[in-house]
Amino acid sequence: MKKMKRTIMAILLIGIACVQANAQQVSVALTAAYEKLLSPVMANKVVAAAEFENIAAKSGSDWGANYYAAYSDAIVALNLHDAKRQDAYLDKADDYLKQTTALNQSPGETYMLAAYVAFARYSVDPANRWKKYLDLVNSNLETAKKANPDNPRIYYLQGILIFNKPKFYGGGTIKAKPYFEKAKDLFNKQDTTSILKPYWGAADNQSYLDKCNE
Amino acid sequence: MSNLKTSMDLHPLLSQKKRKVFFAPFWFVMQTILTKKYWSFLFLVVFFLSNKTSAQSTIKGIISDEHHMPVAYASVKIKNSSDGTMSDSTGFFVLQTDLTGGQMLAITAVGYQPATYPFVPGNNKDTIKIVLQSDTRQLGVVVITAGTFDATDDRMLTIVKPVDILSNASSQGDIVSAFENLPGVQRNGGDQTGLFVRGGDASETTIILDGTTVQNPFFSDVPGVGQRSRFNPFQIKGMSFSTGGYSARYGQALSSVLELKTTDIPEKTSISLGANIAGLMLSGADKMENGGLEYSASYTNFGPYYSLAKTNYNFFKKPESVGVSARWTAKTADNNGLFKLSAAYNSSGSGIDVPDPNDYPNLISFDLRNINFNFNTSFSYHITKRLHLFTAAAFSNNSDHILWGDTTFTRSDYRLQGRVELSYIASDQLKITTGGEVQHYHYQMQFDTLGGHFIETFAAGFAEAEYQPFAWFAIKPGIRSEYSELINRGDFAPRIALAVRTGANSQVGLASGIFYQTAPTQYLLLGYRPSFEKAVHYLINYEWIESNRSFRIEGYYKDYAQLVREQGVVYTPDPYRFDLGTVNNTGYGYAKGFDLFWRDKATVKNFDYWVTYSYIDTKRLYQNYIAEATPNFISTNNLNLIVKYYAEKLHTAFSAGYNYASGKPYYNPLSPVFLGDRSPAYQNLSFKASYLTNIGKMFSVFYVNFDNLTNYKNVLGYRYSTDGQIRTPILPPQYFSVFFGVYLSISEFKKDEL
Repeated sequence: MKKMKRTIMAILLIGIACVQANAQQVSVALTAAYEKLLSPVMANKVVAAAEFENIAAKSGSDWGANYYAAYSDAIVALNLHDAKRQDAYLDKADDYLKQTTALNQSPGETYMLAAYVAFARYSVDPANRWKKYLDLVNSNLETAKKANPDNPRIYYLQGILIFNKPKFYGGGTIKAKPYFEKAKDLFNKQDTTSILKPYWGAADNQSYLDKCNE
Repeated sequence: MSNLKTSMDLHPLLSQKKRKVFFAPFWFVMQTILTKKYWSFLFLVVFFLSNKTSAQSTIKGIISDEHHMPVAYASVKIKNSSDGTMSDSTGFFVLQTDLTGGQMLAITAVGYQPATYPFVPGNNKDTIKIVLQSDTRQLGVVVITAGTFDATDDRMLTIVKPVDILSNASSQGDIVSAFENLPGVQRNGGDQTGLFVRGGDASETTIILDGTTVQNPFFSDVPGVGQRSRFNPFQIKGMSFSTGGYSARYGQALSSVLELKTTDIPEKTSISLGANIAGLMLSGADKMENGGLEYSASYTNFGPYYSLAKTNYNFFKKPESVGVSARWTAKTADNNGLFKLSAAYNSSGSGIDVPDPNDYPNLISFDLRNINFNFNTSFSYHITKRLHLFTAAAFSNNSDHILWGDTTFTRSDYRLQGRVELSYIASDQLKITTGGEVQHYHYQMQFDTLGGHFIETFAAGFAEAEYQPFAWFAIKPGIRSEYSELINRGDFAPRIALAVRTGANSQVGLASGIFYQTAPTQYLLLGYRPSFEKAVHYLINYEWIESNRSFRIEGYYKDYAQLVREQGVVYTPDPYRFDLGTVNNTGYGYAKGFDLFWRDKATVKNFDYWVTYSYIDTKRLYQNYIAEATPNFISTNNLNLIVKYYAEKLHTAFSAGYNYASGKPYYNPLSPVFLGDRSPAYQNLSFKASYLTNIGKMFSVFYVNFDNLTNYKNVLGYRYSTDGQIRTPILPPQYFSVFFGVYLSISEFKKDEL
């Protein structure tokens, strides 16, 4: 009996260790792909998006893997200039976003990402998509804010929207600056030790802030 | 060099014999260094390396799509090897490989079908060209559009958006008359009220607001003066206009259904003020945690407007109205449902001298006072991810008090109705909607001593499936059954629509169905109880849409049967006639034609234009017609040209519209052919400019709209005295007109946003 208990314990411990090791592996792989995504070279971003997709395919129901696959597809779409391909990437982003939502982990970050993907959709064709997608951006940001008002990416994205809005319609650098400043404060406070606690946006926020200060 | 490294890496795996061969050059080198001249050694090294590099080949290529546009960042790999690269932003790639013999390039890019390209390294000196085909999976699914113009912000690619319709110069800000710019709709010269679609009269178009039938969509009818719709354009977020073959969800319209959807929760708290030459409007929205309250009050008086430009009628009492409305929208706590409730009250009046229908060309006064009340509510709820419930209920009450000459004429009506729909998404391919509606309405009329009324309770049930087995094919069969208590009859109306994608941006659609409608109210009011009128629609369309250009052509045939017909009466063009003779359902008719639509907003920046053209051939024998004839509301040819330009630097939007409609038939008692004469063609050039600015914190729009800029003297037809000796032209209320105003809006600044 004692032997049996030991065996079960050993199997359990091995199982837990395996799961942890697997999570660790996913985390390492995500971090490596994320570094590539930060590259200013577009080809690296595309490769990074493919790597995130591979990780998501292998890890199946891992929240982080699906989250970053959606995020990287949105990033690639934002950097392309061909509407058809941008939408194709965003179709994939939506699929991963659905998976991320279904896993029901970190809802605040998931809604934030949903806002970001909607923002990417809007950016493909602002003249024709503002009504639907800005509504979607704003409603997702609102929900993200309810979940965690200290998420810096909320103010970063709000800042971008105001930054890009013509001065005439209440936008421009002066109005956008307080949003980037607030985002910066919050970015400085956030935990950047784990890729699974998303921390993207800080550098881009800073470059927007620099533009506001020009 | 990397290849050299690869070769070196391989050496532990080599056999002893091969190893000897492999290292033989090195022994030779060592001996040379020791025993021969240095230059000989260098020659050998160069020879050795050049031998190695000559084994590496380069292949260059350009990747483009089927439209010759470069495909950037496509992955290019040699199958079964690790050699690969990526195209640059111009679609160009360079790939180096050590491989020899027949190889296969594999090219992949998101949004395109994978492609392969066979090649032999070293043999391809020229830049190869690879064309990728768009991935049909990524094109989006085919959408059933036959007979329907969807103006919605919910679909990415639509031919028109709500704002496009409203910003037309020739729409005069009226949401319903804006639809006259779409193909299939007859141009109304200003003498008639309603939408006349593909040969149908105004009663054949039903307007639905959030799922319920709108009993009085227009301000009360005045003989010879077309009326505007009652809708506030700012409260409409989506419009689906069917010119035929519409969904089984709706019925009681032989020709067309215009479905309007109101906006959801207001985006922000705001207060707006509108002032124009014909009145004032104050409205506001209060955005709450999970909902919003909207309210408005308006006063209109067309006195100043009619005094600016000459009118063709004498308004002894300028049209005047007072209206108030309130609207509440709320999300359910679980965020899965949306509730809407609205109430509107309007009181209006006008006095006009109109031609006396019994004594042309003499005039008679028409003094109208109208009171209208509407209450609408709807609830949309996602019970589960796959099950969706929609319910709607409405009540409306309308009464007209008219002094026609010295005769009192009253008419009133009310309608109470409810609708329930349940949609089940069985899979990504199949959606089933089923539901029903009940309508209870009452009409009453009293003209001097002659009166009439009727009460109807009408019920309908329907089921409809949307099945999309493939991304390129969709089919929507439906069935609807209706029952009228008033005539104690039911009907059974099958419908079907389908769409097949024919290319990356094009599709073909088909639709057909049977449509029923109870007889016009003038018959029911006088106690006649004819059966349903019937129409069968057949439509085929071809549609091509890119994000900024679209084209559509649609052909149709409409077979009218069981139309109400008066027999034993002398024809008179008087719509208010009381002598209707014997009434039965022996009328019939047809309408056939085609509609064209072209829109382009890509050619010139900020410039958008559309052209619509409709051709129709229609005849019918119905009501008091004495022979089969083209009705007096039909122009065989209708052409609309809409141009819009936004001048960014001026912050001004310009819009111009040109409308042409060939002459309409009119009744000439002396003509040998019934309704055989044609009025002159109708032409109208309109222009609108809207200047957008900020006054303090207020967003402001100043606008001016000119209608019939050229002051073209349109004649819409002719009326004849009973003996046929005196002819008077039917004229629009005005030739040239100008309308201007300002719209101011201030939104609450969210101090807590940061």
